[in-house]
Amino acid sequence: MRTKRLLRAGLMGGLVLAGWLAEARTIVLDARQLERAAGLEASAPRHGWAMTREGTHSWANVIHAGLLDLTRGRCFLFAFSLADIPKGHRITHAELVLPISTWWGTEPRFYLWRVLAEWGHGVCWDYRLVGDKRLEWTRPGAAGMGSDRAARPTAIVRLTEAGSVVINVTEDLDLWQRGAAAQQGWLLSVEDPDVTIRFPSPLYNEASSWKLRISFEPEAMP
Amino acid sequence: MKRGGKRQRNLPWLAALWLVGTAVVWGQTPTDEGMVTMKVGPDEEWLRPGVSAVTAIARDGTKIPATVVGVDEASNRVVRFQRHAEETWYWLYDPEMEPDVSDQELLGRLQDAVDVAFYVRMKQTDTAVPPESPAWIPGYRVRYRVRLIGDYLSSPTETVIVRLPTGGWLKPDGTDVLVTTAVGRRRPAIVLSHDPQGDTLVQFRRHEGERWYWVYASNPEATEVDPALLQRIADARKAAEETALRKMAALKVAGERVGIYRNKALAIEKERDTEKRAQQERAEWLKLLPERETAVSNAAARVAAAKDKAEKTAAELAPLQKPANEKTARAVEIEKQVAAARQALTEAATAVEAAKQQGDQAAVAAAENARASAEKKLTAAEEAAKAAQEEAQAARIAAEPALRAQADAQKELADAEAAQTGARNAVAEAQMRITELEGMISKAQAAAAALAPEIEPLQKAAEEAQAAADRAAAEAAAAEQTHLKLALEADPRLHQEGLTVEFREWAGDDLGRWAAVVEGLQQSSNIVGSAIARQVLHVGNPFQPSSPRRFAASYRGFLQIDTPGVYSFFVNSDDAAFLFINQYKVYSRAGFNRPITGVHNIYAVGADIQLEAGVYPFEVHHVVGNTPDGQGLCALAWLRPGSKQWEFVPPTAFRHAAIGAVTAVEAWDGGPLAVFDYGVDDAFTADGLTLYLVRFEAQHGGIVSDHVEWSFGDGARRRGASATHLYVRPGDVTVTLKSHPKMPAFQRRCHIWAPPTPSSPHSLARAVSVLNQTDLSALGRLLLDDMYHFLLICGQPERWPAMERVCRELLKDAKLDVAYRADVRASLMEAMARQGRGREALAELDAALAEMKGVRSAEAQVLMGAANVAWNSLRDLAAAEGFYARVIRENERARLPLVRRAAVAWADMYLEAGDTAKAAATYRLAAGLGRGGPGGERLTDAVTRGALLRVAEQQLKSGNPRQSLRLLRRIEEEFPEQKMEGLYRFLRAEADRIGGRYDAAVRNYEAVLEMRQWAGYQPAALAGLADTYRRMGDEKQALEWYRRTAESFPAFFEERQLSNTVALLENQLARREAQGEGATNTPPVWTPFAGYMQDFEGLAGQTNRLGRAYLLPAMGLVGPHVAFVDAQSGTGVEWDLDGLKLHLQNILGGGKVWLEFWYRDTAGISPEIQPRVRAWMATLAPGAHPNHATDAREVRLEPTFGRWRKVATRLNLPQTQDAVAKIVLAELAGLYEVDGVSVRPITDREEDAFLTFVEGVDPQ
Repeated sequence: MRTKRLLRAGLMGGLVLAGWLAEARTIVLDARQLERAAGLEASAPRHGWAMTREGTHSWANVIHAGLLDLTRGRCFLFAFSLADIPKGHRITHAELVLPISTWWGTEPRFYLWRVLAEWGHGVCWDYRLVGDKRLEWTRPGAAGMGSDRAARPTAIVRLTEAGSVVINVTEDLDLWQRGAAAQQGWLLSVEDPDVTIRFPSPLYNEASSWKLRISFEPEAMP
Repeated sequence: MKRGGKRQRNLPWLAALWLVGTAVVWGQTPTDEGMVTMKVGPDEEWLRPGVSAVTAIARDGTKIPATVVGVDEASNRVVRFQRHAEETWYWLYDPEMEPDVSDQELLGRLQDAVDVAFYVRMKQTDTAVPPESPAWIPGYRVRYRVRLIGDYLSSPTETVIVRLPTGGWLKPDGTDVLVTTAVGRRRPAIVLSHDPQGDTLVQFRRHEGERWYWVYASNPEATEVDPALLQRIADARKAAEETALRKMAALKVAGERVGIYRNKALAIEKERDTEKRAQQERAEWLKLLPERETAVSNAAARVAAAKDKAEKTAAELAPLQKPANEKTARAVEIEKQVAAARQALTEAATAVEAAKQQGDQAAVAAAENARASAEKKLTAAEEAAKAAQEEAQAARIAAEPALRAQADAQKELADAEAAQTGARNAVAEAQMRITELEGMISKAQAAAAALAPEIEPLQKAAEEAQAAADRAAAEAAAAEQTHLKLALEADPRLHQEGLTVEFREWAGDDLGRWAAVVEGLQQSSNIVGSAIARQVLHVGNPFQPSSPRRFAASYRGFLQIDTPGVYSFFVNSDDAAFLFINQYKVYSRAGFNRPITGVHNIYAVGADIQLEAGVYPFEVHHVVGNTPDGQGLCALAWLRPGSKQWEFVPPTAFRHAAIGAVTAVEAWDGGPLAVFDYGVDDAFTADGLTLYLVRFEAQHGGIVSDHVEWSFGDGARRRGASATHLYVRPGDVTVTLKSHPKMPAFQRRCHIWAPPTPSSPHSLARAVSVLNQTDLSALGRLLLDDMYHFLLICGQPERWPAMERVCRELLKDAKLDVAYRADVRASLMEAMARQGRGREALAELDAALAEMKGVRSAEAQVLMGAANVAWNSLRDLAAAEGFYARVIRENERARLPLVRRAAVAWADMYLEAGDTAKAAATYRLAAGLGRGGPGGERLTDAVTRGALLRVAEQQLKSGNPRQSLRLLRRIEEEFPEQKMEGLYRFLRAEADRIGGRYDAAVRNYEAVLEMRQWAGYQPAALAGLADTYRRMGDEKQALEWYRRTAESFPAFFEERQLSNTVALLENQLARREAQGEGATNTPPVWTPFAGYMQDFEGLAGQTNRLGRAYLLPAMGLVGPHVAFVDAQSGTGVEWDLDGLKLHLQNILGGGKVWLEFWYRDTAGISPEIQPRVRAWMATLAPGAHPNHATDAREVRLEPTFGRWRKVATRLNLPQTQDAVAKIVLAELAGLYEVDGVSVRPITDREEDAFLTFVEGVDPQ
């Protein structure tokens, strides 16, 4: 009897574990889930360039199928759609994979910031939204720490070797998933002088597209 | 009294005096109080140094013994004597030369001498102390005390330009300004440029040699110019015009009358001239006539002789000529016969041939015979002809001489007859001309006689008219002079002096043509700054240097043209520029342009104009539009007549005014009144946030009360005479200073920007100090965000009060991002704990957790803050353990970097507590927790770990501790368990020692010494410990550790040459002990070099120590004294700041100092000269040469257009006990003010904190 009870309990536990394992999974978001992307340029403060598939922009960086040179006075905004993360799940791990083409500068650094302010149509260095009513960044270039962007960078990445960079963004995803902060994506910036970091366009191709790898599990699990 | 009169020669013992600027400043020194030094011209040879017993005499007769102290490089005699009260006039005399002159007589003679302009030029004393202030002019509420700067006495200028700080006090047009001398004599003045939020440029007329002036301002009732004066000017102008008209009328009458007289006089003159010339000619003819008559007689005699000769020769020829002619005729006849015989022969030969053809032999024979006969006849004839010819020839030869003589005689006769005819004709001609001339003479005499009676009245009338015209002209000139004199009373610009520039924000939108630019300039009323200029040259907007776009600059001045000719002018600029000379547009460069660079044809640019010698008013208008990459260059160049090279129009081509400096500002009621100036002290950037530290100094000419109130334009307010404020945004901000209860606050537009000056490691502490004093409640969220970030990363130990206040302000915002809120909560707890309120800080935890809305990462952040407080502040290990454990427990399934950091911090805590076992276990735990970085587990192998350590070691050995530290941080992040290892601890100790974290360094060194397996690092650890204590200033401990190093590892000690350091420390210790450390009744003399601040206030009264500069009371940026350097000659004056040779004692051997000072120039720009600063350091070790630099830096001085700028540089200290820092300013041009010279040591901690700050919140 005791053995049966133990077996039944073990079976139930196994079922629950199996169910949990079935629920705990990892998804990879890439260009197909990139819902917003834009570049901001200090020297053209009211000139927004959206990173859209359809975009055929005349800016030096060809967004659709080109390369993005990140340098001081220029930053990139991007946001993935998180609709594929089911509700009631919590983030256990999230990594942002950014391919780097090349760079100029000695062990240059770039910053990844969680964006706080809403941004969208017509976003540019001065404005975060352009429509009937223009909304400015609190500081041009989304530079307001604590208002435009998070007070603390998600990561400061120093480049020492070639290849993709993997950034732990678990905390940001956790905030968004819990609804503690609105999901406005991230901002890439370079804050040091004489540094240029070249990224392939997030829409460039499958192999070198930017990726967001998210692991999550049901909230109720141990 | 006249100026510049000639010296009387009958008083050789009396010399006029020339009081010299810098010399009198010497007189202000405590030892030489009241002494006057004068320079007397080189021709006063009776003043012999050391010999002459000279006496100076003041105007009231007071005699003062004087000494001829020497002769300067210009052979001037230098004389010194005690100043008599405030007297500015002195005479020198030698009492031995006329000992019998009584005092009364002497004084009388002197006074008489003055009355007859006996003196070269008397000049007012140049003294730092102004004369007594004049009585206040009612209605005006502010007045400025202005001092002429530089060698103004030798300057031939008639006017002065001064920049007055008037922000907010003047009428909108700035016209309520009035200038007087010390005795209240009003001087004509005019406002050249008025910035309602800043300075006003005022030009006024000098009064002889006066150095001090008072400028009154702020009078709402004041009219632009005295109406009575204007009326007088109008009356004078009218009078001048009327007299000018009268003069013209008189000149016309005089002209007419003179014309009539002139014509009549000319007619008489003409007749007299005719007569005169005829007389002269007649006399000549009369003189010539006898000669010609003689010639006729001579010719007749010659003809007669020639005739005789001709007849004689003809007779001689006749007998010879006839036979010659006959024989010749016969020869001719015979010749004819020969011809006939020859014809006959020819015919006979022809007959022979004919017969032969016919074949008739008989005929042939007959013909042959005939031919032979003909031949014979011919031969005979020819012989006869020959004989006849010879005979004829002989006859002709015989007649030839006679024939030739006869021909000659005939020719001679012909010549004589021709000469006779010519002579007769000449005589006839002369006689005829004489007759004609006599007729002319008679006629001219008759005509002149007829005109003579008319001329006298005409002459008299003309002379009367001319005299009337001269009188009218004199009256007109006097009236014009009167008008000009009065006009100068209203407008000193009529003196045609001064070059100024005014910068405005460009409000126009079209640069394509001048008319549009004019419209734009009219719209551009927002003046951002103005300055006294030296040349027409600028790059960018000096008043808004961070914004090179959209501004307009207008230069106004006067060109002095000495060489007439064709000049080419060219304004190189981006974008548009226009040059007007005498209001005529000479050069135009419209539209958006780039500066012209490179090699071009010399005539490819510019515009030509012919200029006569003289003074020309000119204007240059430069406009920069919204042009990307624009430099904002404007440079006026010219091609002088005959020159093949373009050059900047030099300063000498402009007529400059004297420069005045405001030395004090006063209120009408004696109340506290102050203005202020500012300078960007520093700007430093981290994580994209740039902070601007700006220094403000309230000024009124003395010590300003601390009750003045600042408003910094960003919501912050503060009290205090000197203030430093922290800005987070570049651009313009209006700052106000309230000092007087009844006056509006003084306001100034301040431009916040990042000057190209290296950031000071002391600035972080200053910024924190500023924040600690700032009322944060009025700051907006944006500012608070930036302040928080700054405080988070600045690493300054004094930041916690400000951090607490910033955090509390931020937490009031309910919309604060939750992660941000967690950070702020943690920071708040740490700030409270750091201020000794750990328990109170922990009490905040529950409230903080409640705000985190269940967000685990946020909760973890707060809990980590609590753990930090529990351990570091309260030393409550258990509580801290609990917090760390909770963070890890609640987040172990999430790979949050924060969780890993919590575990590492937990392990660090165990390690610090000495529980290495738990520390090791916890580090291992940390390694398995949510790791950040590439790939999570990718870099876990020991090879990478070891490699990182070795690279860190190499970086440290190669003198790159920052790189080493970064690698150590990466190791800590990725391989926390490595913190237990000896190599890591040694490297960390080294980094901590260099970074000024001495306690941590000592702990880590000691740990290494306890690890037997790391014995190889023990010598370095021992020496590191010793050096750590040396850096801490604990010589005894340092010497002890060096002793242990020497004992344990003598080879290492020898190799590192540590004995030198030991000797230095021993000396230092001996000095400390010898100089009274521990004495209770007197303050110790020995002071470790903990800071050396040298501003000019401490040097007041020691001006001579400043070399070629002179220290004067003025409104400086650091206290009420400024060092002035007059380099207006612009030839590269070198100012050796010898007086500020700063002796640095007890420098503990090595390290760095930060040297900085403020400067600003007036009219200081010159493209040919590159002003710069040389700062250097020398050792004062025994035997070392004091001028041998152990370290030197050179910094270029930028033109500031009157704005304060800072020069800063680092200098390495030598490895000695004492050193000296020295500053030299070189290649100056213009007038420079220097203030706030300081040299401060840079501590290891300050250096490290600053570098850490600049790197931002980089986790690696």
